[in-house]
Amino acid sequence: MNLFRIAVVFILTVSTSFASEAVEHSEGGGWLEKWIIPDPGIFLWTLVTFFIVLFVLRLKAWKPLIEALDKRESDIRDSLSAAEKAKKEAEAVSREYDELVKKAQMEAQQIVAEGKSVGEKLKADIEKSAKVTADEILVTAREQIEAEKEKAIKEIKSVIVDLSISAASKVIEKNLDSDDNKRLIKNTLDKFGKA
Amino acid sequence: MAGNNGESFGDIILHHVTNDLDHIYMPIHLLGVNLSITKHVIMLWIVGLFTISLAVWGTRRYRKNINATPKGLSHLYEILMNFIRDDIVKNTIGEKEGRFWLPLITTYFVFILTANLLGLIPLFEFIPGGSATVTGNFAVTVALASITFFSIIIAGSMKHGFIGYWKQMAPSNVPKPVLLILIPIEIMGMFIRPLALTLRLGANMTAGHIGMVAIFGLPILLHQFSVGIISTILNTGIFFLEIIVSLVQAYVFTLLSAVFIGMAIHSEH
Repeated sequence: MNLFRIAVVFILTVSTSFASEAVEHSEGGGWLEKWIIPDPGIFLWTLVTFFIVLFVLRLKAWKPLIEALDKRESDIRDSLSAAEKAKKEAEAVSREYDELVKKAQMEAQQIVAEGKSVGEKLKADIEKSAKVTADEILVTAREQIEAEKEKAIKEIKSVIVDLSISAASKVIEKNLDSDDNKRLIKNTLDKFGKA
Repeated sequence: MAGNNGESFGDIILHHVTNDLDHIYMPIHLLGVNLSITKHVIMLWIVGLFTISLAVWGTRRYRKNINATPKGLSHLYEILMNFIRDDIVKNTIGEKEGRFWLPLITTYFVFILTANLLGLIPLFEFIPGGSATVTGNFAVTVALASITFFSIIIAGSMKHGFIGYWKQMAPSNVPKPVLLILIPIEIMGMFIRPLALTLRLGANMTAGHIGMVAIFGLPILLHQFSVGIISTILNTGIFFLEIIVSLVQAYVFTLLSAVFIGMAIHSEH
């Protein structure tokens, strides 16, 4: 600012000498008038030059530059939104995966539980049926034993009858009608058996 | 400097910031307008060529491959384009309409900045009559501001229709007597806006140069060598200030043009 102040002082000093000179130059007016009043030639040349510059720059420099900047901006915007989208998708996939794992775990637990219960049931069923079969076998065995026993007793009885008859016939040496004797002895034996 | 050859300091400044008709390279007169090729016209062409070649060269990667990544100079153009698009055009004109006006606004910035900075370089001293800052010439700034002036009308007409745009000069919810004051003010405002753009850029670019000539003129006027050393030091400082002013004025012209175009589009409030 100080420089400016000094400059202003100098301008004021020197401009007084300019002013006196300016008046002397009378051909085209003073230099102040020359300076202030625009020259139409330069005015037109400026318009021509500026419009040529504008036209060339607009076509050759600004257009490609603006297009490149716009493209870069849209590319950045696109890639940002794509990244955002990809992130969201990845999050969704990971959430899905988590859910799937959870579901799979639950299913596995269920399967194990079911397997266990089925196994238990199977075990119980097998035990039950085994017991039933065993009981049946036991009953059959008992019945068979009983039948065998009865058969054996019957055989013993008949053998005893035969033996008794032969013994009695030997004793009395009289060959009685065997059928009558047999009935007789049988009846007797039955009486014994009942008693 | 030229001051030694019998030219006044006023002439030196004049050659620098106005159309120097003392050095005409090719006289052209068309329909009563002096379209002669002067130092300023050549400077305008140099500025235009420099602006075009730098920008076209800097953005060549994007013409070859739309997916190119920035490198070197294209970095600078990307930053510039992002800044103008997001911080100037989007905030003032809006995103939808801004797409149409973005090339104009960006061209304003690079063209004015190139003109300002090239005007600072005394490299063009080989041109007879010395170098020139075209943006210090009011004819140039008037031309640039008149582009803004018509852009404002075109932008408003594109948005609200040609008649609709002019109708907005007279809001319907205002009492009639107020309109008597309001309409002239609106019409004045229409012209004052580009006029302010013109004067701001032209005066700012000239002021620094006048200051520098004044400071360099002092040792010549006083015939003092020691004053010359002080002048050189002072002018070195002013030169850096001028670089900042060049940037700021290019930005201000661009921003205000965008703001005015935006105002025409969003004039409902």
